[in-house]
Amino acid sequence: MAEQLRVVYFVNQFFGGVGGEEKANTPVEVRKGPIGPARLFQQLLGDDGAIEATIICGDNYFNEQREQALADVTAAWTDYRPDLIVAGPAFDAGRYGIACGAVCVAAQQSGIPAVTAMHPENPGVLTYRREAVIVPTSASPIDMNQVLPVMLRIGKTLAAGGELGPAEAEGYLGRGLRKTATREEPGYKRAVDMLARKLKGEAFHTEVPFQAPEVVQPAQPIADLSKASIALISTGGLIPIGNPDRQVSGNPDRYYVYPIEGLPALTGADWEAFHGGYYNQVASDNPNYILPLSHLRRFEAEGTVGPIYPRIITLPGVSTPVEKSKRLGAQMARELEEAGVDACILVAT
Amino acid sequence: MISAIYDLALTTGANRVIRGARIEHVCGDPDLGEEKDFAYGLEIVRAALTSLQTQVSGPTLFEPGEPSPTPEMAHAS
Repeated sequence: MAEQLRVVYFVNQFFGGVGGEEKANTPVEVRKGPIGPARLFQQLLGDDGAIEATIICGDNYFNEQREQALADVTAAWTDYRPDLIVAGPAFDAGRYGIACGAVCVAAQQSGIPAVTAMHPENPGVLTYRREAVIVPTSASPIDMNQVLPVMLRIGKTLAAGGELGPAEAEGYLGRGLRKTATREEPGYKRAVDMLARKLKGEAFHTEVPFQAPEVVQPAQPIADLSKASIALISTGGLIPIGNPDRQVSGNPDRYYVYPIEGLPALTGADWEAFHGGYYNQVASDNPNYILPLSHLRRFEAEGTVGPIYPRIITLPGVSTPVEKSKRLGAQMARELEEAGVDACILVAT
Repeated sequence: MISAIYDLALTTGANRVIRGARIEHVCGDPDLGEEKDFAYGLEIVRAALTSLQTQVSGPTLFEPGEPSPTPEMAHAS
């Protein structure tokens, strides 16, 4: 490399040598030169570059005062004009992983390439894997020596303005990006070769990794429906008219709960659909198509079902990653269970 | 779960799936006219209520509008 790479490193209070959990409220501080894992990174970097500074921030401080912490961190590195930000590795430390992910995303937003590393199940991965470049690690620092060289190689590529190759080849966690590229062999030949290898019992490598759906144990049937409290959920983007809560039309970070007590039905005067994945007008005219309150009220009046739970849950389900959907679904289930709801009917558009 | 793309719901492991009408109007069909549309919606919700009272061992499709709903087994592949 012709010019020396200027690197700023981010660590938490533990890896920064400030202290353990008792020091987790430590605000952002900057030390010149490399500290903790940054020292090892400097050794690997050799004459190719220098760790100009190490930014240290306590896990609790970062997560409880995210905006302030991020503002302080970005302000701290500005003077050093870094070519690259390196954060972590965070291993399985959740707060640290989230901090590393947030720092990387903030760096990228300021036009500075960034790389971090953590365990694939770290919440930081869940939150930032689509944006940040994250090298997978084991749960503990035992593989620090294997992870840092990968971070360095990727960091150098990014700092040089290079494009990263496929996640598997480069050694980072896939961001769910697909890029157009030319393969040496046409698709039909690759498919047939793959099939031949599979039939021969040889190892083969799929180009479309399949994530097997989770098997969910079916809930027990309801013995007496006439006493059961039923909740209604819609993933069809049902919103109060005018979108007072400024809901998004896809990939939501949360769901919304609205009271329906005393409402015989949903009307197009009060509700509408806001969902980026289907034509919304029909459901906006008659929102009961995506949350059948009018129909269920009939069964309630007949005594076929017990009282309808007086709050509905809605979100626009489109473009939502599986992991996020699982989190939102579990949250809904917990909320309904705590409210004593026996069953729910979910309409998926 | 009521869904017009019920195959997807079954394949991804939803255990009680009710066949909805269309993606744009899952619980009814405006082309049927107000009365029949509402009756259709009632059948869909009735099938949902039936599913809640039915023991299932895995992803199972429930069809609305059948006089004696016998759930059709449709295991995810």
